[in-house]
Parts: sequence; C-alpha cells; structure tokens
Amino acid sequence: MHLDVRRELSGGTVIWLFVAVELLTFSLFFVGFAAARRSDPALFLAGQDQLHALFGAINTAVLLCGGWLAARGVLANRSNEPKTTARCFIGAAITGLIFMGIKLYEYSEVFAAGISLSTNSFWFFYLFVTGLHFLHVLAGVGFLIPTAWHAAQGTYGPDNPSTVEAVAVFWHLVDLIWIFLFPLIYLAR
Amino acid sequence: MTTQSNQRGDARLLLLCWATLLALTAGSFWIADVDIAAGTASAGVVLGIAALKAHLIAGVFMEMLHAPRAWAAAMSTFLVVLTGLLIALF
Repeated sequence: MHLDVRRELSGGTVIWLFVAVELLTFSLFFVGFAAARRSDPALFLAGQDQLHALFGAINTAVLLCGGWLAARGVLANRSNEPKTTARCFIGAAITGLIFMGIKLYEYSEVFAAGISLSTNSFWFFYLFVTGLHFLHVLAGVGFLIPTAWHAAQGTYGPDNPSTVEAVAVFWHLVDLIWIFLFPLIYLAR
Repeated sequence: MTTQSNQRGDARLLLLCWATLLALTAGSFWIADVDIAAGTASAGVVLGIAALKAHLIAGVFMEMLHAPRAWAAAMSTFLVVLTGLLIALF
C-alpha cells in the first residue's frame, strides 16, 4: 500500500525533458527510415537480409536484462540498500558492454563487406541510427559505473534518490529506443 | 515513500515485466522468422509488439505508472502515434 499518493516523475523533470527531446529526435530517424523504405522496398529488404536478426534479438534481451537491473537498483536505493544498488548498476553496465561487443562484431562484418554510410540509404540509416544509439549505450555505461561507485559509498539512499533515478531513466531510454530499432531494422517486412 | 511490503511487491512487478518483455522479444523474433520463410508482411505485428514492450518499459521500469497523469498520457499517446505512423509507412 502506498503511504504517499503524490504522483512524481522518477528522477525529476529535467531528465524527462531530455527524454522527450531524445525520443522525438530518434522518432524523426525512425519515420525517415520507414519513408525511405517505402520508396525503395527492394533495396531495404536486400539490406535487411544481410543482417543477423538473431544478434538483434540477443542484444534486445541483453538490454532488457540491463533495464531490469537498473530498475531493481532504484528500488534497492529506496529501501536503503546501497550495496545492492551498486551491484545492480554494475550489472546493468556489464549488459551495456555486452551489447556494444555484439554490435561491434556486427559492424566489423558490415565493414568487411565493403559497406559504408554512402553505400545506399538502407546502410546510411543502419550505420547512422544504430551508431547514434551505440553512443547512447556508451554514455549510459559511463553514467552507471560512477553512480554505482557513489552508491556503494552511501552517497544516495531514500532521502537523496534523484541521481540514481535519473541515471536509471537514461538507461531505460536507451532500451526504449532499441525496442523500436530492433523490429524496424531487423524484422519488419 | 513506500512500505516494505510494497517494495517487495514492486520487485515482483519488475520481475514479471522483465519476463514478459523477454517473451515478447522471443515472440516477435519467431513471428518475423516464420513470416520471412512464408514471404508475408510482418511489420504491423512486430511493430505492434514493440509498442506494447515500450509501454511496459515506460510504465513499469521508468515508473510512468506513478508519474503525473499528463506525462503518462503524453508518453502513451506518443508511442501509439509513432507506431501507427511507422506501420502506415510500411
């Protein structure tokens, strides 16, 4: 039962304004991808066939595990369990590293096939949008690790939750973007 | 502030949400795989599943279920409009 019924944004308003801008920006790329595909479906199907959908699915599962860990870390912080918060955030950071490792392997295969940003519009969108998302994963890992370290030092806790919550919200944003990228690029036909 | 029992309840909800998200991911991968083999279109189904997953992430992981109603409504509307637009373009 909730003792406090106030409805609040996890992490505060500023991180959510950032989330709104990021989601709108990526949405433009998603719509651009779908519109470009509509004008040349055969080109996009040929590009899609060169990707490994299984890698995309595995990376989705990896990010979802990271999302669960980050959310669990937020709960642990609220119940004043700093070591658990730290462990959860380190776990989430590790899922980010696994994601990037798999993505780098995929990129190496694409580049080995002589593909670049200028090959065609499918590969431009694939490399540009997934590359931009990759940088967000990197940034997320860069936020999670120091937050975990500070959490372990007892810096946060239930009376000072905003940093932990904001970092978790950023990490979920990374997840949310990928949730659309995966079917859009790898699956939808 | 929440009670200890609610903390445990929330942890169970997170676990249930995570398991559902994994099942939906496996489901969309399987549907796409079957559709690729059959040569049929899968965009509406896999993007619809993505919208459902996005609602779960936003609602449970990002705690929009406990956010001010205007923010929660804006997020939900945004996800529905984006998905509808993408499906229409496919």
